[in-house]
Amino acid sequence: MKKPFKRPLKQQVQNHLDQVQMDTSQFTALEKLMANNEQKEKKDSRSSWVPLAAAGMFFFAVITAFMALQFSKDNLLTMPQQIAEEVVSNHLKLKPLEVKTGSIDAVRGYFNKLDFMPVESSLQALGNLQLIGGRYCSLQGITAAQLRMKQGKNLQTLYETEYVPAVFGDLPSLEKGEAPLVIYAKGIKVKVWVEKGLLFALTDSPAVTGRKENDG
Amino acid sequence: MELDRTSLEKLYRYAYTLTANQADAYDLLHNAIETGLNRPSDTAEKYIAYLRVIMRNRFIDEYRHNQSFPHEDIDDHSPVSMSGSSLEDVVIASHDLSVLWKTIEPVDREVLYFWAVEGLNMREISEKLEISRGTLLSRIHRLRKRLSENVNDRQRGQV
Repeated sequence: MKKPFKRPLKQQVQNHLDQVQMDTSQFTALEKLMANNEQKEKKDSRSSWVPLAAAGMFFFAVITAFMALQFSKDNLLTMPQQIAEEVVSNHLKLKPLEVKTGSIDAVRGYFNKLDFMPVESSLQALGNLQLIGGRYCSLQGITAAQLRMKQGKNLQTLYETEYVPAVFGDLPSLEKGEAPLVIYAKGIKVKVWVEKGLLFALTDSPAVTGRKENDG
Repeated sequence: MELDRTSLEKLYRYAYTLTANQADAYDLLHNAIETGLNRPSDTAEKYIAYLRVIMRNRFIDEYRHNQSFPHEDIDDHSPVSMSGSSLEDVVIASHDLSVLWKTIEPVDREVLYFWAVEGLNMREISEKLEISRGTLLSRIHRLRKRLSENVNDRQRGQV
């Protein structure tokens, strides 16, 4: 009887396991199984980021639209109109007065942190108004004095600030014989003019019965 | 993650090492791939290692269901005199190994697989199988003895 040929165990184990092979159909089945999952993963990952991306794009679009709207709104308004809008907006709030006085000198004494001196205007319309006080404010980002005027029970707001042409643009000057610009904002008439190197903006709101003055 | 045929073949051989049956090996591998499909792995090596763990755990579960998996039945403190390379000088005929393969305990087949196919040393095998080095050496000692006895018995026509 022929004696079996012996080899080292390690080699025999390797040989034995080398003979163990899957057939083509088994390979194909396993590859198909993995490929299907690969496609599913891609689909899943797509479906997971698509809603996020859509939400992000929607958010971006909303923000962009909002900013564009604000930008276009500001740009569509002329500078006098923007001044009038800001003046009326603050006029309607009637924020508490920081100084209560009927004297322009006392007002000047209070507004000592301004880069300009509040002055009386020569505009005739102001002749009927009585000064009752004021507060620090700003107009288009420039520090201003917000003065409150009274005519009977009717309150008006007068803004005075340094006239900066680069900011406020070309405005009518009383000294040149030009009439104030008349602009309506939120239903309230606003006169805007330049006088003595200052920009003036005066509301001319209709009389309001029963409106309580919030003067702090 | 998709694997190439070489990797699949390797996994299949490991499955066969556990089951000692080609049909069972295929089922075990198929099942492991199904289970591990959704596991994200950055490299093929990690994915292969993961599939191997799945197969092993699944096999042990099924094995335990039928009989106790002979994993911890060797006395870790039994005297071990041989070195880690004690299988190196064992020689065996191809036919004898084929016959004995099914009778060897699954854990011992794993030892042979990692030693002969993966080229791991004893320390690496003990880490892989999560058994102590002493246990592994005892197991190798018994395996070596058993292989010799079985081959001798076969040569004498007793098996």
